[in-house]
Amino acid sequence: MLVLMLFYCLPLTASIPDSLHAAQSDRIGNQLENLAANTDLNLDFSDLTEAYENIANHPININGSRLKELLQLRLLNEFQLISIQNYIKQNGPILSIYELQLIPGLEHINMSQLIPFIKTILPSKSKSISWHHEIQTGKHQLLFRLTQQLEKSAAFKISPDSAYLHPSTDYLGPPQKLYMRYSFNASDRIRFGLTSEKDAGEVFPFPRLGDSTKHALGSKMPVFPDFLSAYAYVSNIGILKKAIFGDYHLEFGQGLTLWSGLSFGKSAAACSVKYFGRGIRPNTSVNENRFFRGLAATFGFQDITLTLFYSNKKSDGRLVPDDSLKNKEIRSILETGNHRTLNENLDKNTLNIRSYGLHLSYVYQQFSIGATYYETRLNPSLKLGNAPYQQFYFHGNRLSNFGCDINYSFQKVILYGELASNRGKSFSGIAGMDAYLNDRLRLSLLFRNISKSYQVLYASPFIENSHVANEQGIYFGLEALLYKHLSLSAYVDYYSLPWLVYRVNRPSRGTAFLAQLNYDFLQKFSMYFRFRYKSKQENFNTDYDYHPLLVATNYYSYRYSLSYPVFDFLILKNRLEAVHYLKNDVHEKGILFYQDVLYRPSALPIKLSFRYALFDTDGWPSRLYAYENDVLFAFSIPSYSGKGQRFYLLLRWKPKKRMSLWLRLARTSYFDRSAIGTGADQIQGNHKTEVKLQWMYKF
Amino acid sequence: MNGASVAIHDFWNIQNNQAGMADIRTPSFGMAYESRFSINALSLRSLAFIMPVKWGVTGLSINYFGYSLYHEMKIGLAYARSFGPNFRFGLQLDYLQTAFGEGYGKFQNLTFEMGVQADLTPDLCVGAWVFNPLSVKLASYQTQHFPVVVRLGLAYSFSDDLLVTIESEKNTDFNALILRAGMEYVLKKRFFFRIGIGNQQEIFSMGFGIHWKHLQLDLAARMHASLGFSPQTSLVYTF
Repeated sequence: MLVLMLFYCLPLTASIPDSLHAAQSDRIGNQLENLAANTDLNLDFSDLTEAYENIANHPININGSRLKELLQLRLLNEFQLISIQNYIKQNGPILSIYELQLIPGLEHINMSQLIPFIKTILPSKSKSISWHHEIQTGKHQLLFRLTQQLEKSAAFKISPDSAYLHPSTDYLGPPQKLYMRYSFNASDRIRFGLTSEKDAGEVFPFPRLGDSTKHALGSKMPVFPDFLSAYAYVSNIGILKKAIFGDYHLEFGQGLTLWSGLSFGKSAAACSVKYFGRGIRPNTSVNENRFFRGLAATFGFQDITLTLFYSNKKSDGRLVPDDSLKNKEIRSILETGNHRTLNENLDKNTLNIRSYGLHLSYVYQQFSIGATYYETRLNPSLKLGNAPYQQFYFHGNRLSNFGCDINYSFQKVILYGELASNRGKSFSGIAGMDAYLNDRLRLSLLFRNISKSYQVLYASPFIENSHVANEQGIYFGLEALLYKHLSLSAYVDYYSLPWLVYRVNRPSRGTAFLAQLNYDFLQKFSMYFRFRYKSKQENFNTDYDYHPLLVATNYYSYRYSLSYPVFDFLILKNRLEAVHYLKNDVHEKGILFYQDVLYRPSALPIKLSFRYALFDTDGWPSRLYAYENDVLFAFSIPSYSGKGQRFYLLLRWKPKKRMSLWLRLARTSYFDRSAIGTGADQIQGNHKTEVKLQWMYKF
Repeated sequence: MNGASVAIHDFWNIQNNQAGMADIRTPSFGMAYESRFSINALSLRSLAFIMPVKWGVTGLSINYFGYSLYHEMKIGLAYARSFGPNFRFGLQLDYLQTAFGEGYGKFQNLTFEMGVQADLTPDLCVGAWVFNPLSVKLASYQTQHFPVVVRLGLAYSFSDDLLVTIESEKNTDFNALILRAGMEYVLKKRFFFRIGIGNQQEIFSMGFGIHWKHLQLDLAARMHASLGFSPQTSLVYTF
C-alpha cells in the first residue's frame, strides 16, 4: 500500500510548492515511523517516491482514464473519485482545475496538494503514437549517491585475509555505500530504468582478496556492483495496457494473495486501510529480495483485464543439509540484501524462485471482481524452521496460491474484500467497509481472519503479525472534522493470534489504539497531539519454559508536534514525545525532543534543513522513532535509544536548471556509552557520523 | 452502540438513563431479550412500559436475569421530567431480588438510580447517571454489596442522520474504567445501522433496527474480548 502523499516528504523536489512541506511531511513521516518500528530490515521506500515523481512529471488528466492513480497515491479518496466521475457524467468534462472545488465531497480538499499532479485537457480520441517522436521528447534522469559512515566499525579490517578468519563478521569491501539510478520516461508510455547499489562493506571492482578468501568463495566471488536491477516498460499499445520486461512488482486485491510491494499498516490516516493495487509496476528499489524478475503484461478488453506474468529470480538463503542428509535445503530467506562478509556472499543467490500466474478482473459499473492464481517453484526446497510456532510454515518446493477479490461501492458506502487459499485449504479472508456517512465524518471497518496454516510468499495484507498467517482481528477507524480547523482521527484494533508466534508460546491477544487531534490553520500553522497505545502478550519466563505464562506488554506514547512559518522562507518545527513501556515489573520511560529549521530562500538556489534532537530513554523497549528529511530517493528513520543527541544538516544546491547537488551530514552523540553497537558493527567512541553526497542530472 | 447510551434519548433509556425518557410524548411498551455469550442460562429478559403524564413521564420496568437455580430480578418504577428545553432529570426506585440455588434463599433489597441530561448545544448532549449510590448490602449479615455504577457520556449529532456517542463507566465490582463509543446512522428515517466499540469486556458490537408505523424492531450482537458473542433483540410498540 502506498503511503499518503509521500511526495511531500521529499523536501527538495522542485515541482512541489514549499509551503506544503511543513504540513505534509509529518503525515508521511508518521506512517514510515510505524513501519520502521515494526521491522528490523532497512527497507528502501524509493518505489513510493518514484510513483509521485512520475505523476508530477506527467500529470494526470482529470477527464482521462488515469484518474484512478490518484487513488493509489492517496491524493484523493474513493468517495471523491466517484464524485468527480459522476460530475463529469452529468456536466461534461472539467475545464479548469478550480472547478473541482464545486464538486460535492471536494469542498474541503486541499487544492495546492493536488495541483502538481493533475491537469485538465479534453479527452482526445486515441491517436496513434509516433515512437520516434515519443522517444525524442523523453526525459532522462541520472543520479549518483555516495554514503559513508565516518567512524570505522570493527568489521572493516585492513588485512586482506581477515574475512577468511572471521567469515561471519569481517567485511570484504570498503565502507563506502554507492548508489546509482538512471531512468528514461517518454510521456509515461515508454520507460526504462536501471538501479544499482553497493552497500557498505561490499566489494569494489577488482577486490584485492587474499588467496584463502578467494578459495573459500570459489564460484561465489563477489562482483561489482553487488546489486543491479533494470526494467523496460511500455503502455497503451492496442489491447496491451502495460508490459514490463525486467524487474517488477505485482499488487492485486487486498494484498492477501499477491502483493510483492511494501504495505504500511496502521497510522493516523485511520480511514486509509484499503489497498489500491497498481497491478504491474517497475521495480526501482534496492530491496534485493522483494520483487519479480522476468516478464509481465496486462491486457484489457472492454471490462475485462488480464495480467500474465513469469518470473525467475534468485534469492539469498542459508543452505543446510535436509533431514535425509542427501540434499540441501534453505531454512530462511535472507532479506537484508547485504553481502559484506564471506558467509553472506556464500549465501547469495542460493535459492531459485520461479513464479508464474495470472490475475483476471472484471468491472461492471461500481462493482468489480478479480481472481488471482499463481504457482511458485523453489529450488532447493525451503523449510522455514522446526520450532512449534513454525509448525504450519511452508515446507517444500511447490506452492500454489489462489485468491478472489471484490469491490463494490454504492453512494456513501464501499465494501471490499479478498478470499485466499492454498489449493482448497487454509481459507483466509479480509473484508472491509469504508463509509462516508457525513461531510465531516468517515468510517472504516476491517475484519480479517487469516488461517494459521495459510502459506504465501508474496503477500502483505493489513495485519499485525509479521508472518502472513495466524491472525483474526477487528479494526475500526474514524476521521472527523470536529470544528473549523480541528479534526480528529482515531482507530482501535483488536486482534488475536490463535497459534503460537515467535516468543509467544501460547495463543495470544493484542490491542492497538490511536487518537490524534489535529489543528491546521490555513495549511501553514499546524499542530497535533497524539496518544497511542499498544498492548500484546509475550512469554513471561524464558523461551524454553514448557509451561509458559504470558504477560501483557503495554506501550504508551504521547506526542505533541508543532509546525509554523516564521517568514515565508523560514519554517520551524518541534516535536516532543514521551513513551512509557510496561511489562510486568519492567518500567521504562523515554523522551524525545527535536527542533527543525527549514530555510528556503527564494533568491538563492539553495534549500537547507537542520534538526537538533535530544533523547533520553531507559532502554531499547522504550525507544522512539523520528522521520528525517533526506536526499531525493533516500529515507532516514533512525531509532533513538539511550541518552544522547543527534543533529543533521541537509543542503540542496541547484546550480543549473537541470542539475542538483545534495549534501547531508548527520551525527548522533551518546552521553551514556563509550562504544556504539555490538559485534562486528561496533564503533569505538560515543558518536556516529554519516555523510551523504548526491548528484542528479536531468536531460 | 455497545451500550453507550447515557446521553441519548430513546425508549430504552428507562434502563440506561431515565433522564432520557423525559421527552417521550406517547405511551410505549417494549420488550427485550439478550442471550449473554449465547448461553441460555445467562439470558436477560426485559419488559418496560412508559406513560407520559401531566407532570412528567412515568415508567415501569422488569428485568429478569438467570435461570431457576440462580437469578437476579429488578423491578423499577421510574419518573422523569424536563426543566426547560435543555435539561432533563430522571429517578427510578428499584426492587432487587437475588436467588441462589435451592435452599440458599432469596435476598430482597431496595435501592434507586438517577440521571441527568443537558443539551450544551442543539447538537451536543451530556449525560450522567448513577445506580445504587448508597451501595446497598445483599443482606445485613453479609459483606457483599451491590455495585455502585456511575456513567458519564456525550452524544453529538453530526447531522440528522448521524449520531456519535462516547461514555465512560465506573463499576465498583470492576477495577478498570470502561470506555465505550457508538455510532448510529439512519437511512430514510426508517433503517438504523449501529456500531460500537469498547476498551474492556464488550469490545465490539453491531446492530440493525427498523421502524415501521408503531413498531420498532432492533437486533444487535456484542462481542466480549474472550467470551464471544451476545445476541440481543428488542421490540418496542408506540401507541
